[in-house]
Parts: sequence; structure tokens; C-alpha cells
Amino acid sequence: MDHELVLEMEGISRQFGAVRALTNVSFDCRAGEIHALVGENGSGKSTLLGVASGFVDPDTGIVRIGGKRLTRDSPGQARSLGLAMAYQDGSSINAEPVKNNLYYAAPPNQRPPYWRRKRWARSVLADFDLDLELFPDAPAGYLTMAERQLFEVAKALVTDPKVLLLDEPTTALGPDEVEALHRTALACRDRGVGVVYVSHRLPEVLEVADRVTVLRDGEYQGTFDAKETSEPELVEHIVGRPFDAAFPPPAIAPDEEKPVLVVDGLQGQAFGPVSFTILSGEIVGVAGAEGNGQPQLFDCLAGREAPRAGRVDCAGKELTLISTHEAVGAGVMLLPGNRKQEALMGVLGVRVNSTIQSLRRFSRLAFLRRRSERSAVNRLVEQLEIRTPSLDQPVEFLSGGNQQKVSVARSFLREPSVILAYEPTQGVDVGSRFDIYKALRARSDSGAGLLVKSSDPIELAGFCDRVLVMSRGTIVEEIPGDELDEVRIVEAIVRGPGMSKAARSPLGVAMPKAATAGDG
Amino acid sequence: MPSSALTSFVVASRYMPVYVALLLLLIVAAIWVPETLSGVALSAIAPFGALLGIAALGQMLVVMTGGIDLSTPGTLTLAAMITVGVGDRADGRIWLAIGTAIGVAAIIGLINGILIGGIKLNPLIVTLAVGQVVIGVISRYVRTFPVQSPVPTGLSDWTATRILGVSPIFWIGVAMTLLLIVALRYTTVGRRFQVVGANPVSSQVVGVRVTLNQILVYVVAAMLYAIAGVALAGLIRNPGVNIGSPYLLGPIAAVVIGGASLTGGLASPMSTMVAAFFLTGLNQMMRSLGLPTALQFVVFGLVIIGGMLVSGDRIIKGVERLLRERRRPGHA
Repeated sequence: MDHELVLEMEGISRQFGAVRALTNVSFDCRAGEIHALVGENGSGKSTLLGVASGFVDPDTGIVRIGGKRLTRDSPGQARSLGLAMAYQDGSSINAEPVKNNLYYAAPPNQRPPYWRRKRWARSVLADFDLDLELFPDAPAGYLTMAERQLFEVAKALVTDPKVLLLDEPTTALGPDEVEALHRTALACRDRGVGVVYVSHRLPEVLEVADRVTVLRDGEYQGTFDAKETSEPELVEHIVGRPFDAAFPPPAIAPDEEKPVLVVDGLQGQAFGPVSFTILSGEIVGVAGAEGNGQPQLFDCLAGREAPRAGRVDCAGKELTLISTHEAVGAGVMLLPGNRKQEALMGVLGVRVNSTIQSLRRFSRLAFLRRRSERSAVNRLVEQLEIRTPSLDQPVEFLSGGNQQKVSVARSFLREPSVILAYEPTQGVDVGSRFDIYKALRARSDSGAGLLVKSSDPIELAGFCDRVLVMSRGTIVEEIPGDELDEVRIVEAIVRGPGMSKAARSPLGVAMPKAATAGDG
Repeated sequence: MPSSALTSFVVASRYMPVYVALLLLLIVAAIWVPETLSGVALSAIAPFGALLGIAALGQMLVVMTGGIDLSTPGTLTLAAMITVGVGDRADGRIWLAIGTAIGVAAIIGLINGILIGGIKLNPLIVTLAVGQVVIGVISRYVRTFPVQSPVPTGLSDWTATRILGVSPIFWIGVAMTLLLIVALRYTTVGRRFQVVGANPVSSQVVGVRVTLNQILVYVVAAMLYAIAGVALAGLIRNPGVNIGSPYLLGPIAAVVIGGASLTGGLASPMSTMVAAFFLTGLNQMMRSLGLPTALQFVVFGLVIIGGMLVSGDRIIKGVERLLRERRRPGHA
């Protein structure tokens, strides 16, 4: 091919604390192609993008954008060399209208006169064809999650880049929006822009990409021509091991006589009424597209957000759900999805983080028995294979997987009757995932009931004993264990009333295709 | 395990600068003003260092929760004035005076705590405002007794006694430091408190009573200021209404130089106390050198800025970077 390289990255390595995020990775993108970068969470995709866009300073390696070398870790320099990035978690000023956000994103010499910015924004957005041109006056904070994500792309495009980085652009998107995004990405390609498309949804990737590069655990696994490769082949490179070995065996027979959590007509800010029961020894999954009340349900059960109506019994006792202190005391433990902010005390050590919920066990008359604490944590570090240089290592320096193991370790010391795990393997490297499944399964085997929210249908199908499908805040379907597989879960999600658009056009949408990824 | 030692080194490195600074101060003093290092001179500044340290320990606890307390001068002065007013020159009323001072301080702390921990108002502004109210209360309260009234002689005599050659206030400072070290390191209360400071959101999730901790910390801090206030009143016998003013910045400076993380969670009572002595010693040395008062203020301010520059959080980042740089060649 005679296309010039618009992005070249050679021999990039980067280490965070004890974690090797990238090891000698090379990557390039030509003008007029869509080059997909795939890999699981924690495989180094985001770090690589961070290096390319100048946010992360690599330990070794060089980056060239449009043939010119990026000389320091400067997002400004990367931008001026012609690189634009659509961020995963949004970079808009929420209080400012869409038109202003777009105006600020444009390079000064391409901005229209200030008083013309509304008309300009409308025409620019119409050109991008992302269905965003309708409300240029709306504050960016009023956009839906999906619109926000598309708007990120629009803000990147307005700089007229040579190379466009899309970081998981479809996470919050419904099928129609994915289509719009892909239309835009293809239009960019045809104009000669190099598009780097980061995603973990293979069907989408194969739909638009020209080449696909796979990362696993921060290491380069190969680059493949999208026309010649297949999902199963890519999955093999991504995971590095067959799928069926990835989950511990399911529960033998949950104890029908022993419900640990009985939820009856529970209703909160963004969900309900919901009713369900979790038995002792059972792992119940919660599926559903994002934004259908799952986080609110979890927060409510954990006592973080008071319910409006309904009743919850834990191991026979009614919960008032007004404080986390009460919920924890009654035996309900939440493992939040946002570990850094909501589960761990980053500056404190592994030991302190592990035992915070079981201090009574390690104290006599309010005095800590540090030796028994230390030996208990030591045992758990070995049992859960937590990789840490010492028990006092601040947990912020551990990898995502090891951080999650630390928060799971709490449940081994406290032995709660209900564990609410929100996205337990998000941001967790492949190797640690199985350890975490194993650890959580060990809890259920010793009598706890688990409620697991996951956006990954493969995980739900492989790890759970049955799955509740949530849509618009209610449980629309329960999939029993013998019917459990990825396709079934995804079908249920897509069929739910929350995704009516998708239900109208089941072909060509992202969700049902994503399911087939699991068959590989 | 070498990496374990490395971890301890990195974790402890944030508290190093204050010891280095103290060492430098001692060297400088030994060269230029050796008379400040005489036994007499040292035992003269010991009680002042200790009571700055006691107030700093209170401030340290507040900073550990990510807050800040600017009501220190007010609370401290009010405690001193109550010692005079309630003490009423009668030795029999000493304990009543001390109890009242600490009790009233606890109420001030409780108000701070409820506004900050309970209602979640900004600690900087709340404590500044509460401090202002307290100062108003003081200026009304001092009119109830004659100007320049002394504390009960029993109290001032006691501060002048010597235990092992040093004022008992010094030993109270030492006791408070040990108490806090033990509480933070070896008790469940201290552990939970530390966790709340490190990350209140996570602490809430794991079921620690965050609000309660955030309220009580201001109460405990205010009680420590009161102890410092009573001790100060005893030391200078007839305290005026302005005795508290150096204790606005002083304790904060000691906490910062002592290596506390200003975002909360990490601090060391030991290095905070040492920092208080460093600041007191520095002050003393500047006076012995005959520096003009104006210049003393400048130097004091610069030292605090210096303390921020080598603050714990920045040291940790620096050490991290150094370790990373060292690894680089191995990668290529």
C-alpha cells in the first residue's frame, strides 16, 4: 500500500508501580485506514492511546505523528501534529452549551466568529453525520451518555486531524448510534484520515476495521487483516486460552430452604419495583444495557441510597437500608465497580484495606492484635494470589486485578451472607479474572449468596447460576441456569423495552452480534 | 524481602524532611548561636515547643480527614481566658477551670464538626467563621474580670516546676504524642479514623461511620487546643486576648512540615511534634541572632513554603519517579 503512516509507535514500554502496562509494543496507522486495537480490559489499550496522545510518558519507545516525532509527553504537541482523540469518559464542560464546547475544541484558526458559532456548530455537526446537530444550545451535561460519546468524536473531528483515536467509542451506544458512528468513521477513512479504533467488541470491529492489532497483558500479539481473520481467531489471541476453562464450576445445588436475600417490591430513584430472591450458595447475575437502574439497585441494597418503597430481608432479618453501616452489620457486602474511588483507600496498605471490615476479629478491647491480623492477611495474599511486594504496599500501586483481589479478600475475613459484586472483573487483567471468579465462587460455596452485575454476557453466562435481565429499572426476564448462554442473555437484553429501537431492527445491530464473540 | 524494605522506605520517606530540617537547624545553631543549645535555653523553649505541638496534633487529626481548622487561635485563647476567669485566682478552682476550658472547647469543636462533617460545609470557611464567633465571645467574656488577671498561682507554679529538668508541659506533649501514636497504630478507633481520612467514600461503602468520625475529629482537635491554651495561660501567668494569634499558622506549618498528606489519611504524630519543636527552635534562633521582627516573619513564611515544596506528597512522587528512571535502561 502506498498510504503514508500517520501514526507510528515503536517499542513502547510503560510501567506503573509494579505493573507492566506495556512491554515493547509497536503500532502504526496509515492514512485512510481504520486500524482497530483490541484486547481485554487491562490489556494496555488505553495506556497505548495515552502514550500516542501525549498524556502518558513512555519509559521507552518513540511516537511519530504525521512523520514528526512527539518529543515530550505533551497533549498539546500531539494535537498540533494532527492527532485527535475521542475520550472514553467525556471531556466536555457540562455547564456549557454544545456549541461552545465544540467552539473550544476547534483550533483557534478554524473557529468561526464567536457570534456565528451556533450556525457553525450546526453545520459542522451535520457534516459529521452523528445525529447531534439538533440542539446546539443544550448544555453538554444534558446530553445522554450515548450523545456525549458521539459528541466526543465530533469534538475530535472538528480539529481536522490526520489521525483520530477512538477509545471504546461504543460502550454507551445503542445500535442506531453505533451505526452512525461507523458511518462517520468510514467517511473519515475515505477522506484519508487514519482512524485508530479501540474496542473490545469484536463484531463491531470486524465490521469497520481494515486491520486489527491485538494486545494482551501489555504485549503485542499480532496484526491481522480484517478480511482474512475471524472472530474465533482473534478471541484466541485476545484471551490466550480457551474460553470454557475460564470459569470455576457452577454451584452443585443452591439450598432452596435458605434464602439469604429476599427483595420484595423494592423501588428506588431509578429502578423498581423489583422482587427477587437469592439463595445461599447461589450466584445470581444481573444483565441489561447500561443505564437501566443497575447501579441504583446495588447502591440501594448496600444502604447507600434509601429506597422509596419495598422490603428487603437478609438472612431472615429486615434491612432498613438507611445506612451502609447497618447493611454491612447485617451481612451485606458491596464490592463497588469503581474500586479506586469507592472500594479502596489508595494510600493505605494491603493489610489495612483487607481487614477494615473485620477489625473486631482482630482486636481485643479495641486494641488491634496486629500479629494475628498480619498472619491472616498473609494467608489470604497467598490464597488469592495477590501480587504485592509487601503487606504495607499502598494499594494504589497495585494492578487492577490485585486491587480487586484485595477488596474480595475482605469478604473472606468478614464472611457476609450476601455479596453484591458490581462489575467484579472490570479493569482486571485476564490472569487475575479467573482468580477472582474462583474466590467469589468459594464464598458462595461456603454459603453466601452473590448478586453480580456485569456488562459482559460471557461472564454472566459462564460465572452465574441464573441471570436477571434488567430494563428500564425493572426485571424483565429471568434466565434459569439450564438456558444460560451468551446469546440468550444478549437476546433478552435486546428484546427488553429499554432497547425498542434495537428490537425494530435486530439485524446489523451491535448487541446480538457481540454475543457471538463468546462462541469462539 | 528487599522489596518489602523498599516499600517501607517509600512509605516512610514522606516524614523524612522534618528530621533533616531539625538536624540542619541544630548544626546552624551550633555554629552561629551555640548559646541557644545550652541546657537552660533548651528547657526554656521546651514547653513552648510542646504546646505548639499539642495544638499541631489537633490540627494534624483534622488534616488527616482532609479538612483544616482555622478556629485554633479562638479556641486556644478562650481556653486560656476561661482558666483565668473560672480559675478566679483560687488554687482550689484549677481543675474546675481546666475542665470548663476543655468542655467549652469540645462544644466549639462539636459545632465545627456538625457543620463540616454533618452538613458537609467547607471546613476552611466554617472554622474561620466559628473562630470569629469565638473571638467575639472572648472579647465579651474578658470584660467580666479585671484586665491582666493572672491564672491561679498553683497552675503557674506547676508550669515552672521541672520533671527530669524539663517543664511538665513538655512531658504532656510527649504523652499526647505517644497517646496518638498508640491510638492510630494499635486501636480499632484509630484504624477506622485513618481509613475515613484516606477515602471517605470507600469508608462509607465498607460500613465505617464516616460522619461520626468527621464530627468527632473536630471535638478532639478542639480539646487539644484547649489543653495547649491552658498550658500557655499557665506559662505566661496573665494571658491577654491576643495570645492565640501565633497559633493560626503555627500548627498548620508543623503539620505540613511534618509530612502529612493534605488530601488526608497519612500523617505522623511523631514528626508533627518534631516539626513543632523545629519551628519553635527556629523562632528562638532568629531571636537570638537578633533578626528584626519583620525579617522573622519573612523567614517563618519562607520555611512553610519550603515545607510545602518538600511536602510528603511531593516526596512520594519524586521517589516513585526516581525508581522508575532507574528501571528504564533495563527496558531498552
